[in-house]
Amino acid sequence: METRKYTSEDIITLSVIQKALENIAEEMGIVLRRASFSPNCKERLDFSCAIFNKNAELVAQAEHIPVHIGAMFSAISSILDEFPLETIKPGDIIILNSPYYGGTHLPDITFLMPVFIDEQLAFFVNNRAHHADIGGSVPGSMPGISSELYEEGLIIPPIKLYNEGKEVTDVMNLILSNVRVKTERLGDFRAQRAALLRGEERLRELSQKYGLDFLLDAVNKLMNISEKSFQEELNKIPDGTYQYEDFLDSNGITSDLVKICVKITKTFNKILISFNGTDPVQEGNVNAPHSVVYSCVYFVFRALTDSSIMTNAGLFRNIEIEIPENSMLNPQNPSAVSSGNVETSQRLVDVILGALAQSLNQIPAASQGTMNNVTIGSKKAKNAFTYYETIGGGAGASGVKNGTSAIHSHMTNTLNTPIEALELTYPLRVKEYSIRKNSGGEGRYKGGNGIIRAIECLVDSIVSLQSERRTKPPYGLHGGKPGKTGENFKINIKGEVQKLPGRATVEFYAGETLVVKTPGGGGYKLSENSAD
Amino acid sequence: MRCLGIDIGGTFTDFIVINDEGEVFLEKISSTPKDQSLGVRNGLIQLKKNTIISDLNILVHGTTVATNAILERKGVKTALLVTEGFSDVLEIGRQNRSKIYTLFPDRTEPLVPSNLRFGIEERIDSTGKVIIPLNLLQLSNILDEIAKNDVKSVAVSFLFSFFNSNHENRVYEEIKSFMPNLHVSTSNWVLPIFREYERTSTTVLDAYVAPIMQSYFTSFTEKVATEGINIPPLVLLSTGGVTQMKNAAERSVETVLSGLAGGVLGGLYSCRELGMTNALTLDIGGTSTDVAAILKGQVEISSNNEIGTLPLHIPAIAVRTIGAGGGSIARFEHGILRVGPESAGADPGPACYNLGGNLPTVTDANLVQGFLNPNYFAGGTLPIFPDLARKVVQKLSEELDFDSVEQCAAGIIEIFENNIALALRKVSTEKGYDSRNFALVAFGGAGPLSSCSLADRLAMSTVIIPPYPGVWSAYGLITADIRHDLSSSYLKPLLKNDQKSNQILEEAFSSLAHRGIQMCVDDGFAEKDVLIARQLDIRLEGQSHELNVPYYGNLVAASHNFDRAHELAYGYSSPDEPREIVNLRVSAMVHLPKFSLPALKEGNIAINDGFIGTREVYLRGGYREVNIYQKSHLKANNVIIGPAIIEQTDSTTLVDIGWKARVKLDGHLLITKIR
Repeated sequence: METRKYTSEDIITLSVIQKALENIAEEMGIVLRRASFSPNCKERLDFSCAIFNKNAELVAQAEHIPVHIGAMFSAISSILDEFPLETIKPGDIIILNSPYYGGTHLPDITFLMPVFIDEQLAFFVNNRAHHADIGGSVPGSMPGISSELYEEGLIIPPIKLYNEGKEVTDVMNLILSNVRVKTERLGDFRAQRAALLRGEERLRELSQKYGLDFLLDAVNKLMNISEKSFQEELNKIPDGTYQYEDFLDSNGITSDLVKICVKITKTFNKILISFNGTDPVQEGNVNAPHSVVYSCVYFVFRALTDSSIMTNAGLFRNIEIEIPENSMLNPQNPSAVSSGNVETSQRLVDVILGALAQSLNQIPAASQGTMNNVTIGSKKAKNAFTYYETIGGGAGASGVKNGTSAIHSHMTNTLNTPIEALELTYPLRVKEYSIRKNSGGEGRYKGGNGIIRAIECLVDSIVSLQSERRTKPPYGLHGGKPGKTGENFKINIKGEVQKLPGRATVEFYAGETLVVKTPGGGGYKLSENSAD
Repeated sequence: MRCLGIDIGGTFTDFIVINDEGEVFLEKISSTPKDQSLGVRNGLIQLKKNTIISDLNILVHGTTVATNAILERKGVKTALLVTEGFSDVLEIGRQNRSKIYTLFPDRTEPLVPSNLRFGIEERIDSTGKVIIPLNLLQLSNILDEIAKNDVKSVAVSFLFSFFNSNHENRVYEEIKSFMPNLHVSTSNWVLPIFREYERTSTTVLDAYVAPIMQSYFTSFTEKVATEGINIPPLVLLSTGGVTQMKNAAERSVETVLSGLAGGVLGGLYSCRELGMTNALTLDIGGTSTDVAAILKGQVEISSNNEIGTLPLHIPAIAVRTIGAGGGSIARFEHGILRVGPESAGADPGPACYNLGGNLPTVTDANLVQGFLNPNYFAGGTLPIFPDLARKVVQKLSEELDFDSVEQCAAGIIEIFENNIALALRKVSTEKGYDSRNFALVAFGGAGPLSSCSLADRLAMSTVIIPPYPGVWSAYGLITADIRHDLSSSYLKPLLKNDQKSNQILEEAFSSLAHRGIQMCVDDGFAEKDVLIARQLDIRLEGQSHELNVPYYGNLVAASHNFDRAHELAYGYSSPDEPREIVNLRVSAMVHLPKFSLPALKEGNIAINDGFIGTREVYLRGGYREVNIYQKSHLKANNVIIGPAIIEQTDSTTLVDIGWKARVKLDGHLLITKIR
């Protein structure tokens, strides 16, 4: 193996290494997608892959799901607290899903594997996939209403699932005994491992080419480049303090509004994001672990930064985040969190953008602000099934164009399950899948329209909903009108319509239909013809 | 016997005539994008000055007409009929945004706007049973609306039509009886495969380009007839097969990736001629690079394709295209040097063309390093100016504080080649193929120059340069065979030893094969000459990604092959898990006569016949004197030790340090790593 020295050709080599690292993360994603079983991973791509160095700093990440971006490093830090570096051996795979160890919500299971090169721990490769079920009180492990983490599924603290390359069968059996569709979980676990092995192999090759010391040094230099570029972008925000607050429809149990506050302080080349003033820990599952909060902040600043800048730890070095103790953004065991990752996260982005809109013209009005989580599972253990899906909605309008209709915005970008794939797999029938006309907010630029998705249950089923913006609509900006709130219904066999709340777990008899109408995006500026 | 290939690219239209006396005639003229058949006629007029084309036996055409119509959104006004409640599926797509880190989620606009998308009452369930009958009254109202809107073409895509096509076919007949001039594409005809968005998108693409292709084929046939060619022209399909234009007009969507297939076929030919079974093909042009894999002597066919981000799920040769070519622009942004995907194209082109380009490109960097001969670029027909190239590269060099202009130029090439190497890895190592056992077939104007360096990056030890690298896509056309691909969704469990289910499978296959045979007969061939190949898409039950394996009538063998494919693709297999047959695929083929390339004069190893002098070239961080050879003067068996440069009218080959080239009897260069 040759070890190369830096010369004035640094930039060339760095450019090449950057591409190679990004490519490795991307290739891990390709392997994970192809090898996984559940429609959730395969069709909807609800997973992320990344590379870290041994200091738990992000080296490269493939562009998969934004809500995973900041959450991964919290998970690694927690793992390293439990497993000091010297206890980690080649071939070990440590997994976790506990939100109190850097997880987000229980269905998201993180896999982490060390990469040893020349007998030293050089990198970590990891991935996180949303599993269609991880046990708990309802199929899909996303209960509409829950007040303790135990209801939401099996809690996995950092634990070795593979010990020096060998599966720890006791742990595997324990996990599989607690989930509803065993073979699917097993298949997805194997897929997650296959992706890590591919990442390991590629990092070894890269190190072989450049020499490990040179490669690690290049990784640090790439972080410094991203840091410097981020500071340049940050200069576009005028120094000052910007505040905003918005609400969740519900605390997860009752329909009391829940306040989320942000104060952004920009000084020279640093930015402080403080969530002081946010409501305390809530009784229901809207609490968001701090890893989710990090993800939301990072998402916004990643989106505001030129896309050619590499996503790594350097990009986020000058962002400081302040989360108040005992707030719903810093919940303690055993607070319920299943909706924090999927719903509270969207509101966090809304408030950060609302604050930034006071100084930056390019900030758009609020997008639908929810993921409209739908889980449908069988009532009977026989022919068990679990279908989970999120539904897109209207995007907020901006100062240059209308918001796009029927699309995923901000913290998720999962694909829908094709209707034909869904009906071939589950005892369900889709009756409508269309754009919800006139649901975007009015304005000079109109908000995007939401979606209508109607699904008939062909057998007795349990439906769980976690959806927001059913009471408080997505805001418009600079005089633009808010988007329409979303609506959920049950239609029974007689055709009678029953309105369902934003969060609910409801029994459906065979022949009954669930209708979800998702919110529209906010409008931008006063309409030119405001008599409209 | 005499054969003509006509390949239309973005910049040039290439012609190649070959006969069984071993003569080859080439012609290269500017493309005429507004009406590609005009350029064809211009070329034929030129070609007739050198050779006879009236007694042709075969004429094969590769076209980008359908491709351009879609990319430039110049297809016909199209309406879409779908199951009621689902008229927005085409717009919603998979509900994801194209860029993940953005505050402005966006996607490609659908080809059919919402006012021309109609839902109609009907429904078939997931077993193929009708649960809501087709509402014919509603259909007639929709047809009135379509008539009012001056629509030229209609796509029909109902849920589960691949299990029960009656409703779609009924709509087809209704439209044809009321509006016979309207083109109609039904999804059960275009792509009877499950997943409604992708099927609908593919069907819409067919409807959108069909009238254009039909009139283009008519115009093409007329133009060549004017020049004395009266045989029915064949057109290259995305799968690399050919069919008569009149038949292609019935399935226009199959020509959408025609323009990419020719190069891969050329690569396949080279690979076979030199006795290789595994190869990567590399076609580097002015703005883009196409790469593809050849496995066990076969091109790879994929069904998950897209064009301009719209899903196109018909089978096509698996080609990966990236924005890297001679015109790719180098720029320094955010601490990193990037090369491409922006391209200076042909106009203004690289700075050295002196047409106003003032940004450094790959061609400029190659010129600065002395790889290109300023007096012999494109055979001396296109003047290029080294001082202009040097000026733009120098500017970048100063900005980045390089020690020399050459060092900066080498850096540009390093990044350019790294981007291409990543694309080559995507079609090889990332799929589990060991690139060390592959040969690299390099062509296109700029392919041969980077070929050894790229091979080194993938640890490959064999490079093949075709005799006419710059027109090799056109050559690929005349190596093609008649081929029709048919598929249908099946979605039943794979039962290895169940006679009844075997019989059902055989019946389903034989109905597809029957259609394939009929299409070959329509191309003018006898049923006995048709070869049928059958394939199964299989997945583990519950998995949603299928793998394609050949089927020779034995499900045990197919199942075993599936396990091996799974192991290769994903690193593990599950031989005990139940599996499902997802789709059936049939290829119907007829072999066309083949021609040999003319033989060179025979020379020997010791004498380098084409040596024309030496040049100072910047290689591996310093200038060195490099031997220059003229390709047309080389003889078979000549061996050239690298570093050396071989010049010819349509390309320049660098035999890099550590490599040696052997001239083959048919004009191929076989370049191998010196051990």
